[in-house]
Amino acid sequence: MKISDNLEKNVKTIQDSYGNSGDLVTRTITIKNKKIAYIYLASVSSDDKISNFLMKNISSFVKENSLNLFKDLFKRLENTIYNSNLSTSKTKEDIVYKLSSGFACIFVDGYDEAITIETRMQLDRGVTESSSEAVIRGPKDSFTENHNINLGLIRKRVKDENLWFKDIRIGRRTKTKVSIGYINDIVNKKNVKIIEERLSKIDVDGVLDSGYIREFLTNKSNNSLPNMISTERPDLVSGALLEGKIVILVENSPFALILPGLLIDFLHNPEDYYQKPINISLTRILRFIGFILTIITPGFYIAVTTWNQEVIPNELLISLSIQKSGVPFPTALELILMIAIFEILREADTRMPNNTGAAISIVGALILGEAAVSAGIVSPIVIIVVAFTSISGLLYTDIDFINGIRWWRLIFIFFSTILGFIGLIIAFLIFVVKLCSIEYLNIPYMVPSAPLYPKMLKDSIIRFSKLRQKTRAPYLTKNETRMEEYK
Amino acid sequence: MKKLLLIIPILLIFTGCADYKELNNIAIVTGIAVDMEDDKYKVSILISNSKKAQESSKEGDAGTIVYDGTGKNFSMALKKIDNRIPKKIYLGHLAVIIVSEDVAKKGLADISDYLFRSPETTKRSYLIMTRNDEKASDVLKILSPLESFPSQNVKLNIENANNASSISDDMTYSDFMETYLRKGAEPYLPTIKIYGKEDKGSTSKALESTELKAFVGLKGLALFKNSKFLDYATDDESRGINIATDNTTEMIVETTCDDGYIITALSGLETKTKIKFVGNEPIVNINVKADGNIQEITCDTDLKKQENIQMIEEKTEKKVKKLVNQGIEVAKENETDIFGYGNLVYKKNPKYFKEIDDWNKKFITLDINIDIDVNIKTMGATKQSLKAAKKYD
Repeated sequence: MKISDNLEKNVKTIQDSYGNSGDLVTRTITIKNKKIAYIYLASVSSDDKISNFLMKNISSFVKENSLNLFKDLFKRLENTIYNSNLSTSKTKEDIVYKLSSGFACIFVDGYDEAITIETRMQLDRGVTESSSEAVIRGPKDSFTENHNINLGLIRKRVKDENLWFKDIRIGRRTKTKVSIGYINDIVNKKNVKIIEERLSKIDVDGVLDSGYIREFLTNKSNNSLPNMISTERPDLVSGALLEGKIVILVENSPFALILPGLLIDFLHNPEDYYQKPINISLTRILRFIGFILTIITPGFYIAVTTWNQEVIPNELLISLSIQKSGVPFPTALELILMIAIFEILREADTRMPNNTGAAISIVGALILGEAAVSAGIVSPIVIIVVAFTSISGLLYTDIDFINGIRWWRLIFIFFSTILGFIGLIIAFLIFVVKLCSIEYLNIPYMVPSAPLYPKMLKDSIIRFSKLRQKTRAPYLTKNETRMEEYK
Repeated sequence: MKKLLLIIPILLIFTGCADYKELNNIAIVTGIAVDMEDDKYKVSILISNSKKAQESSKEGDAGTIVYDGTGKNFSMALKKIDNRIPKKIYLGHLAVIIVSEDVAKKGLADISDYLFRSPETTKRSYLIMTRNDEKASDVLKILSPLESFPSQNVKLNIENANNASSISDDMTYSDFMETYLRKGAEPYLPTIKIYGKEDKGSTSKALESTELKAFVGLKGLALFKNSKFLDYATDDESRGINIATDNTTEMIVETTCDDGYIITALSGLETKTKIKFVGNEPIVNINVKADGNIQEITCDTDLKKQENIQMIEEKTEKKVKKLVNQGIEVAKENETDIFGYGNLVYKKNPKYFKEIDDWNKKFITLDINIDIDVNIKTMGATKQSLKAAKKYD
């Protein structure tokens, strides 16, 4: 809706739109018979900026004569206030959006345009350490809730002019700004188009966090493992951009999304590149083994103790048999019960505030396990199996990945209970086939292992020294040269 | 999608959980003993996971108990035992099978059909025999202070049979049956003997004092023909048989000199057997090689001289040859070719073997040449014996 050139009418329209909210401030000044009004929301605009810079300039300006007050005022502000976003606006929707974003609007009587100038107040915590991802060796700054700061943390690391950010506004009522970031001459442009299309089709009331738009970006697959990386660390995001991946930053959310997320990325950690490759290779092998073990171990235990006892050595079998005597539940039920208790403890631990919750999880798990064994509800070996499973599941940084593994654990337990070792193999086949069949943005999930890209295997489970990696991944980009020969 | 949801419950109903056994519902059997009682088989099983009085989770604190049942054949006997135990018999971890002499005389091929047919039993359990009138079930009842179960005791005893005395050999169940089925070879079994009285060794009181009341030990080999028992071999004969069949790698040989004994420990014993056809008759050439180590010497020979060491080597070689000859003699007396030479002849010249009706009779007339080569390499930490040192230095 266009604004009129009557000042009072304009001011009234804006005030009615906001329902005369308490934080809407309107001031009308009369300078030489010309009325100028400025409006801002006190909750998002900073009072000092307005009073110090804006008003001083306007009042000192109008002492001179002018034909087109609006244009002169605009020119004057352009020339004197350097460090703000300055533009004009003609529609009410635009003015309302800018007001809510922290801009101040100046109306001049007799003109149907308004000057909007950014006077945003700092409403977030500064750049602090990440609370969800622990860093031992590497930069510790993390994204915050301020969109510009987030973009700045990336820009100051990748100073290439080819780093482009495309803005889209999503959400009818929240009008959240979503930026798609990519490096222009590396990325696959088709993927950017696909993502843009998908994002522009979203029609919801509001987007509160980057997690909201995840579901719209994926296909209709019911896979439990995530195919996007969500992270708080700008160094991880910068590394992904340099490989040719696409980054999505959502306003008011400290979590950035990196697309596409491959299985191998969840087993990696950006700190791997800051330490010696030969030591990191061992750590990565450990993580990979942990990934397999955390899914298979409960199912394996069930298969081996209830179906195929020939596999266990003699003495171990007799120990297990003595431990199990007196326990009333079947093995599968024991395992599911203990896994459920461990998961409840883990979830409760994250919800409790820091000063009460630190010791409860460990102590709770151990004592609960001990008490359960003494009461004869579970056998001692089950506690060990479940503790080992849960702890090796916590090796990874992405919370969606850890939660996604849970489903597969249950599927393995189910198949082992009904068919034993053969069931374990069937479940494993289903697991591998399902993982290999996932594709996102035309890139398979299990790359570089399946389909095989031998050159990229240098960085998958075992990391070779960076001096040997000269090309980028061919499945992500066509621009493959990374650096010159190391002379 | 709906079809998938329908298929899964149907599959579960039809396939069921046939082999599903919980750990506390099975009786883990680690040893079986077979005796003869009034012309019927008496089968005793050793169950290794009965609980002891106090709660404990370790294998070492498990209790063991022996149940038995009689029947005309193996399955009937096991069925009798089934009626007496609340748990399901699980034979997947069978360690030893002990048979008594009467059962061996009757023939072992009959009772083994059950154990081979059942897919659950393991074929790698050790087969062993008891001597004379001793009962096989007594072996299962004697507790040992060094091992948790009697069956474990017997099994580890057999596995370490290649020690100094080397009068015994380990023979698994499948080995025995393979040799029985082989053309031109006959099986043999190790034997076990009970020292002391069985009832003194089967209670936990036996483990509380430092004096052993009853224990089991390995003895010489037993010769078979067509899976029927024939005769025992003495200790020396067993040693000879073990050397000839390349079953030992270590042995102790004792020879005499003027006023004492020389004991050589042979290690790295290797025997190679070759069949040669001279004319139309096969000749067996046995080649034994060993490294020697003088373990104990109580003569006053001067070991610094090379000719003395050669003399010791020759004496040892003569003794070993004598042992092997004794082993071959006892096999020839009983008309069984336990060495498997018939099989080697068959492999070399199948036509010749097929023309012979009874290989065992031919075995008695076989020419066997034995060649021993002992090389004394070390003498321990000292060179001269004390007597010799006093005399010559």
